[in-house]
Amino acid sequence: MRTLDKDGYALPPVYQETVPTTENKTGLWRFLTPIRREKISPCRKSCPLENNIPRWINEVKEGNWGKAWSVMKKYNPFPAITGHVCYRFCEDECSRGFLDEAVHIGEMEKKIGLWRHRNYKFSETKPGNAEANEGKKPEVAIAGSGPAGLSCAYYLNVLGAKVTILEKMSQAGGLLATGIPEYRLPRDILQKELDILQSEGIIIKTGLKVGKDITLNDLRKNYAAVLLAVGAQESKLPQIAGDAVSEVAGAVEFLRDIHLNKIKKVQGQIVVIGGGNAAVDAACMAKLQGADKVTLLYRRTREEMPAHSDEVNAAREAGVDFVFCAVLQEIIGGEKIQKIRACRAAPSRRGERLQILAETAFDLDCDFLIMAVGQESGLSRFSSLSFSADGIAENGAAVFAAGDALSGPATVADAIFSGRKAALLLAGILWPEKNISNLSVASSLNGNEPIVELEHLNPRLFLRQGRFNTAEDEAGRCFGCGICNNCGVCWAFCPDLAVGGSDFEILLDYCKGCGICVRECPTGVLEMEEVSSGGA
Amino acid sequence: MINTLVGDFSREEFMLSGHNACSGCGPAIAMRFIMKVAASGAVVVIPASCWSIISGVVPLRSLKTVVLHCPFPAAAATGGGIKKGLEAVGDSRTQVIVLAGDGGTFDIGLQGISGAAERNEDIIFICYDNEAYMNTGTQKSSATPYGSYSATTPAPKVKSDPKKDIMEIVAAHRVPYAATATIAFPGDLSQKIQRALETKGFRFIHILTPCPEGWGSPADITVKLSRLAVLTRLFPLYEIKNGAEYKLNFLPEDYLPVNEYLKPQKRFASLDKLQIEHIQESVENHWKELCCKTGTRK
Amino acid sequence: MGRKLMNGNQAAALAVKYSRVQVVCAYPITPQTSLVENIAQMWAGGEFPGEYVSVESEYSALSYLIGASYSGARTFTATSCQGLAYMHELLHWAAGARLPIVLVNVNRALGAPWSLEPDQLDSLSQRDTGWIQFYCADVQEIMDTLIFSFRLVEQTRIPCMVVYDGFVLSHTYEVVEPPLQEQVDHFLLSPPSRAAFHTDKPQTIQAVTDSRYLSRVLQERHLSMLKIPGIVKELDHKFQEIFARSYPLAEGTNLETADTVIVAAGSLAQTVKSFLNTVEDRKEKLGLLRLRLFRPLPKDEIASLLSGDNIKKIVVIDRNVSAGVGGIFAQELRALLQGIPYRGKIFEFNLAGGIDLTPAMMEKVLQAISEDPGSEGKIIWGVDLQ
Repeated sequence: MRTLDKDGYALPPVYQETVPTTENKTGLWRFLTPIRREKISPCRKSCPLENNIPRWINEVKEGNWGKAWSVMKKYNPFPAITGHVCYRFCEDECSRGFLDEAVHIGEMEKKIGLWRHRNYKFSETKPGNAEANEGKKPEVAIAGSGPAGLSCAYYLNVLGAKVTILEKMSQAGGLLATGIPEYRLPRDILQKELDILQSEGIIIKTGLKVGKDITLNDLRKNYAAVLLAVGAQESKLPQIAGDAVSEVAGAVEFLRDIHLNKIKKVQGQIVVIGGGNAAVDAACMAKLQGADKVTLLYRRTREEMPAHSDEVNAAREAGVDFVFCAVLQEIIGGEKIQKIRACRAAPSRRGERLQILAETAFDLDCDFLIMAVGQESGLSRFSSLSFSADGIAENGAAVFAAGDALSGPATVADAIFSGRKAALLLAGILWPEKNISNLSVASSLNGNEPIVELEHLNPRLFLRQGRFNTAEDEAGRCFGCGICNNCGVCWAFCPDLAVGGSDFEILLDYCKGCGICVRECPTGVLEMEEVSSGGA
Repeated sequence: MINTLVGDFSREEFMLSGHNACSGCGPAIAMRFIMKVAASGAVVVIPASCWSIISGVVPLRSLKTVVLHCPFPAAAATGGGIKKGLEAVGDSRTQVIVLAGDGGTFDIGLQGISGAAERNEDIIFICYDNEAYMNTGTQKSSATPYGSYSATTPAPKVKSDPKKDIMEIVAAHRVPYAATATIAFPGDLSQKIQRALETKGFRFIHILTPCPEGWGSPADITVKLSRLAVLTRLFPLYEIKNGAEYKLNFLPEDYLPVNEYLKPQKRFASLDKLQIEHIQESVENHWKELCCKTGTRK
Repeated sequence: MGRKLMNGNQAAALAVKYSRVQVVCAYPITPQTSLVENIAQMWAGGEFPGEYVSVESEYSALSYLIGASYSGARTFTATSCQGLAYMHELLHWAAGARLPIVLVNVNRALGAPWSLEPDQLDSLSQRDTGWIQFYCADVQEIMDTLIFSFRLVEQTRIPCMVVYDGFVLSHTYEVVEPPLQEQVDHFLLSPPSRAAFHTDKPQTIQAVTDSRYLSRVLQERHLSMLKIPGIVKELDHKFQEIFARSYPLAEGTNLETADTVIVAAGSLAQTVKSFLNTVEDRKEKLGLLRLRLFRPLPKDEIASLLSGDNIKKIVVIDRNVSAGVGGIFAQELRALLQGIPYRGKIFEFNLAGGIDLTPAMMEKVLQAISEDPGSEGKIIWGVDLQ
């Protein structure tokens, strides 16, 4: 029976109360289910450190510098350094480059590092004033305070070891202090990193050369494990006709002498032989230090130079002359060098045999010759030891090698990565029963991880936009390849409201499996997977 | 609010999961954003269309507001009547949103729209356009584009006439606000709903909502097709105020050829090169006209 | 208020005003035009405080009222012939949605061909739409039935159609006693002052249903409709108390003595009524049954009125024809009298197309049925008797 309301109006008949459609589990319609599977971004893939770049960029976007640093430090404890010196292979591979311009990753990395420097609170206790319970910590000695040594020291310290670094030079930092020109890495940045490491409890002893001032055996006796991160800091000087002159130096040594102020001024005409970063750095440094003319001779073409284009461009700007397809033949002069003689080679690729062209000899005036045709690993002085590719001493001693010493000359990022890997290896020795968590030290990729391809991405969600001035805005340009950066696109476009609003989880009760979220996902983290039976 | 790459939207939903829309439904996405902006302070009037079903078959309901169903051609007048009735009983605040498909707008509902527009009824008329009678299985409407298959324009006699220009028809009534929108641009869509809510009088929003079932496209490219429609300039995003002030809301950075949009849809499968060129040409002509009206140089 | 001379459309317009209708929405059509013009005039002059909306078609007019009625407003529209037909789908909708809408239909023939004659087929072809239908016989009744209807629809949520003949009533002036506003206010519920729904209470209204639910809806509608005669009677008592006028469900004249009963609706009944006493020494004893409430048809009322043994013949006058069957009132009556102990004969007299009923014609009909008892099964066409 219908009833009347208080005014006497009949109420519309109601036959059944309505029920929300949420009663209707449309997830049963589904044949395919969207799932999140993280993938390796192109930037990460190209990064020597395998740095999870999209992850920390995602934090920078929100202005969460602290969180960005927390992500960063698992991969790279020295972003202030790499932010200055890394060649940014990541930016070459950045997916955004296909739309407009690569994301300015290096600049953001540097800012995270500088944020860390600004915000680091130095501890009251001076380094070396070991606390009482430190005795329980396993002790590790690291020979060499270059990027590999520092990196390994950092991670082992984080994992709970007591680390002592032994540096043969009077200054810590290895190549960072004595190899890389100051215009690329301001020395206060390095100093700050060293200060922080020491504040964290790492002991750095300078002026101690392992194998000379202290023997490896002594170290093995006093420490639970030893890492040799002694670099490749001796130039190979090939025999050249007429070479008995004093005005010839290796590039590494030349740079070191400049950084150590042993060379105060450079004059006259300088010739540099080589095509690697050391050659270009030396040439550039020579010019900046006052040389009248610096000529760099490289035996192959410009494209074949191993040196990074950033370096080459810097040298060009500094006024270094480049002569390609030229091979040093002879040093001319008596006690004092006067000229060098070179000849032309046919253009060739690296690895190919060089073909010298007949009757192409030419002379160059030369007051000082810098040779940068290869570096010797510091391990050569420990000839009794041989190391596996991973840097494990093959005679079973708890001795490891890392960095350039192990791999030959490479980039700073490579060295830091090598140090990180070594830290995990050493940890296995120090705490055999302990499961080293990936939370504080990222382990290396195994090569089987899925990689983000361009077709996974959805660049049309982005407007073309050049680089921004602020890091936060610039971080917004990052596609976030391969990770879920909470962009919310899956949530926004779901016709079935089957994506949760807080952490964007798929609500299987309602997901009909249309796949719009997967298609629209700008990062490629979502993919469709077959379900054996429909529904939740 | 949830800040997403495609806009910032209210976290609160006024549409519920479990509705009966097909997998990958464009109109469902459109309605979700409409409701997010309009919230529960609106009465929704729905004539016969896909949304007659999606809003819930008795006893189910998928919208968290009052939904009134009405006969197919009656939407605009019923909406106007509801608003007038509400005012008569002392409610001048509740907004009335009519949600009609292209059939209820371009075809059978057109007279009512014209009347309501002329009387400047204080309602928002939203046409979700999936370009045919989809609820009944893809029969042609006057919104079906040239060259498209439908159950009543089967190949080789696919639709030979162009789609009706509903925006011009509405604009000719000099209504305060008219706009086009589509689901791939939910920020723009939401903004237009907001603008409509803030305007008084007859407001018209034409939303292109791809339909995987009817268009013969995979369910996952619903949003992509909507985007391509804009990037090919086939469906420009613009507003018309007072029937005269045109404004383009989105200028594609570079124009994609219409074939990018047509190719993934089976309904255009019978098109040959000449027909595609013809579509390209008509898109360019329409674009030129629009640029003229909006004072855009591109 | 004193007595006034006015036509049916003016009376209807006044009734709308007195009933404090909140939304009037209509589309003009002859012979309804002067009705809506009158409302528009009062609206423009501020006499009518409701809203008057001119729309672009009858279809939209009723759609509009469906909307306004959904919102809870008191609503009214008026139309005729083609316009009513154009509203057809919405008549069903309004009834199905249980919306208390009041509609005036001024009878006029449906085309083709075009005609302005007062044929009844327009309203009769809407008999199954679920609306209450009243057929009025004079101008006073138009006014009273309209006022009455607003109370009736709001109490029952069944829409109501008040029907009267085009021109014969719509444009013919009669002396009418208009009510006082206080009387009307006393009789009617106060007009709604709040929305029928609340936007904070989600609901879907008239959504797609299955057969079981729909069957319940239809069953409920049917049962509600069956109660209408009783409710009309009750309300008529109230009406009589206030206005001192009363209207029966069906009106009988001389039925206690008549051997021949003429059945008619609307103004035709008035014509017959005046004919009853024109000849003093007539051999037949004439009586009249006026059909007033046609939907629902008050079966018990009519059966009881026709139950006297004195009644031998019934002549049903239809100004309509359901082609292939005959006059609709005649069919309805035949169906109604099935199974009732009544042994008289039913004759059909048809004025389809709006033929005017004259005393001479009436005489010829009486002659025909007395001379030719076989004419029971045939239709006597007025047009043949002219």
